[in-house]
Amino acid sequence: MMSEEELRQEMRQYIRYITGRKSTEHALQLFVRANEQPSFLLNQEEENQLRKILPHPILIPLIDCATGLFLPNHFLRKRMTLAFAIIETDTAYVDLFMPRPFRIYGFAQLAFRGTTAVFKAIIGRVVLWKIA
Amino acid sequence: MEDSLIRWDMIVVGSGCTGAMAAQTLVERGFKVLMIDGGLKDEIYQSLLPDKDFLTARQTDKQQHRYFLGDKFEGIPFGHVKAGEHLTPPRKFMTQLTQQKIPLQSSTFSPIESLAYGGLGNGWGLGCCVFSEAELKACGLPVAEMNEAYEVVGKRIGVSGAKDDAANYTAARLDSLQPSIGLDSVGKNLLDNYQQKKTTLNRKGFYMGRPSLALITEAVDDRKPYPYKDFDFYSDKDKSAYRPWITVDKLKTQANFAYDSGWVVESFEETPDSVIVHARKISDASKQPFMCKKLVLGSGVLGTARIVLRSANALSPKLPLLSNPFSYLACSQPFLLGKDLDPYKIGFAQLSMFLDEDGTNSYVPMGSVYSYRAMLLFHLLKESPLDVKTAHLFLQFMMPSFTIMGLFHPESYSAEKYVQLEKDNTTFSGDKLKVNYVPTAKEDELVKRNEKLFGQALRSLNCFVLRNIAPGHGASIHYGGTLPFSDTNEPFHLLPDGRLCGSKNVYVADGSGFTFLPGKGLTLSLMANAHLVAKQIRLD
Repeated sequence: MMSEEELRQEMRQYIRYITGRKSTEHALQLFVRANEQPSFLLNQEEENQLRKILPHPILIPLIDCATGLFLPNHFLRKRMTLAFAIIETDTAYVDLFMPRPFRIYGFAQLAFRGTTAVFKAIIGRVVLWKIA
Repeated sequence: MEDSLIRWDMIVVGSGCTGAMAAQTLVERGFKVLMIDGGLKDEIYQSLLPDKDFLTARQTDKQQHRYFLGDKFEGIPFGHVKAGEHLTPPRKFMTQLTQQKIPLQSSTFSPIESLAYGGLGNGWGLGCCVFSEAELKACGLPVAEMNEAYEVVGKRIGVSGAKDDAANYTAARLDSLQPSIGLDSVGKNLLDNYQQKKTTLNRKGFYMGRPSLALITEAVDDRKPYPYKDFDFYSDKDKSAYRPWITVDKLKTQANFAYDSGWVVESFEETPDSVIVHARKISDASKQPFMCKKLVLGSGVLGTARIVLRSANALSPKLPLLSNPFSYLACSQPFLLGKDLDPYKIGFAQLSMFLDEDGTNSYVPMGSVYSYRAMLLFHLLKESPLDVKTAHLFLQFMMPSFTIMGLFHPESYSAEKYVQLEKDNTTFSGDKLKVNYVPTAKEDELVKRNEKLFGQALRSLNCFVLRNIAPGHGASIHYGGTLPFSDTNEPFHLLPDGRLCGSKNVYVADGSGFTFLPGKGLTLSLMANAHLVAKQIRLD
């Protein structure tokens, strides 16, 4: 079973990745509590994979792209969705979930992100295969 | 005196839309009525919901994760989402204990059933439609009497709407109609576009307008006009949205009405002048009989099928089943991309769109148009084929333009759609309901054709379908047809007054008798029929 410190470390990485901000104690606690629920428990193999990833936050974007594009039912996609849901309901981040005003720059950013996501997804898929 | 020792004039089973309506009519007629019900309530979340609008709550309420995600994070569905899994945590009580206490087995059908106080009415989208003469006849319902019943029920529950292009298909002709709720930007933009393309769309059989909703815009008794808080599928604090428990709460103040909760009714038996109702306690499985002169079943189509089959000790017969095919069209209106969210955003339908190709108002699929906000973005993230980071950005841009159309298709009988009761000693009641639901290729084709036509119509209104989501059979939560109306007194049928064929004192007030399910919202007609059944029962 993942220790509380490992879970907090994992959530800190998701928060930094998704919001670019520091984590709140509230969000960290909720993530730990969610992991006590049977539907979010990991099996041994999943825990081993996660432990290989945690020391390397640089892998998070690659794995996110790979699971989003190729493996929607992967356990890491599920964990990132859980993290996203917790962040969305934390008042500290609520502004990040309100509608974005229309700006050409924003669309360019979106198009760029979409394009790079494909390359990241391919690398991420290899990473997942390596750690499996 | 204990409820079980009294011989009641009437026992009504179930507190959902049909049970509540039938009970009200019977109580108003002066009968001594007992309602037996599962009666489960939400004891966790109701007290947490803030008396604020959605945006203020989002910005200030530190406890919001509890009602958005749930204390056990049950509000975050994963994997293949079945009907009912999208219910918000404060609404999850609706389906609580159903799999344990009223088990159903099917690989082709995922319905929602309820043991809750107010039944499935707690999650009703409030859409109200008056069936046309052709539809009523196809359902096996009497036209003139139903039209009177619509007026009675409309007045009881409070219906708002508009007499516009869609008025022939909604409930806008009701005398007691209140003004429509405000339109948000999603609805306004689409309706403006419709006004410009109206002639072409009408020629193809499409009509669009404001939906009639069981949502009041003018105060009625202790029910407040709709406050635009956008917590519609979380809380009913203001009672603007009609829920059947509002009726039952009121009935509880009447001397000739009693309510007994915590029961699953299993079967009934008839003596020459009485009906004995056998119920089992949800908490400890103990059995208890209740006695009445007349029994009125309003336990939902699947629940009623269980009770009737069990009472007839009939495990083998197959009862036919109807359930409106249902799909979502997830769309975007590019004109609204990046716009601010307006204060009129609400969870209920903004517009209704009907397709009446031959102009006879007899086969009319219905699309209900919704905007998206109160369910939060994480639900959409799950459906998105993008990485979390890109999806987050994408959804923020898209949110004001998201337009969801829930599409209901008319439903007729076919051979591979049926229910059966099967012995199973491992279950609470010693049996389980088996459902087989396999539409014919022609039926599937028709649904696909309707989806295509609605998609084209939306495109002509600058609203583009991004994804067509099929949540599976049973997801419409519209069921009917298991005990078809008939004049011939055949077993497992209902007589036109709702009496179960072969019985003397047992009536069915839910949709079990409907021999056709129009695509239009069903609930108002279910309630009108329940009122009609209750109105016709005579004590010998």
